[in-house]
Amino acid sequence: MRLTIQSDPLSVRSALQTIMGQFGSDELQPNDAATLEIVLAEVMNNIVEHAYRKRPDGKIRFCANKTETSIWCSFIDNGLPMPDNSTPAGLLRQLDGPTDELPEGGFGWFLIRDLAQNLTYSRIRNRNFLRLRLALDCPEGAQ
Amino acid sequence: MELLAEHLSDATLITVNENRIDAACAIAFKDRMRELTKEGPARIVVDMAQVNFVDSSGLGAIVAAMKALGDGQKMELAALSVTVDKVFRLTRMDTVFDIHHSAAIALNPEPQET
Repeated sequence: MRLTIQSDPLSVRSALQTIMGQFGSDELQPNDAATLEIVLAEVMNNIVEHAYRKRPDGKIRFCANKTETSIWCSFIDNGLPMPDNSTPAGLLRQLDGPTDELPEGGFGWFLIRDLAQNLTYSRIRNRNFLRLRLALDCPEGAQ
Repeated sequence: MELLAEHLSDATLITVNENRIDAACAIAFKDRMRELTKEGPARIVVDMAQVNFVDSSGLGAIVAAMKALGDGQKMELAALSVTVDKVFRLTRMDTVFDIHHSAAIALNPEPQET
């Protein structure tokens, strides 16, 4: 599956609906579909917000390949590089403080790192390349 | 962003008539919640039955709406989808909010057995 997405939140929303529609509920277990939609949303929203700094004229090139056990996803954009040329650590902030101090953001990279495997990032000639794998819940006995 | 508020005797029921709370509507959600929770009973139950997706911006907006409540007000959530429930569990936000199976159960708990 290949898709080019405009760098604004409504285009990301409609791309997610297209992608989830194409994978279809008969092809993915509900838990795998949840993982896929969460990770894709967080990666693409980060590109819109940070790489393109909400400039709506950027492009995100998305590609996904499904195997029996995984979905491999890649994202290419022409926005700014990741800080320090590496993907953020995505540490979850403590929630045990007073309500006033609860975090309202910073969940995105935590979710990506928690749910995705084989995450690689490179910056090549003004472009960001991000690749990751989502492991599928395999039926018992399948490898 | 369509949010409907129903003021019941001991709670406000807010029904989210949207399929998604995401980066495209997080600010609208936060603003509308703030308007709807300005007055009314202390207990606020948000019915999420129609919401099948919340991203990190949407989650942030839900937390912000809760933080904007007045003293003594409390926000609870009902009817989280598989995906929404997963986002809450992974980020541990399920420990911050009371989460009910449905709005009906939240508002009419089973009577205690005697």
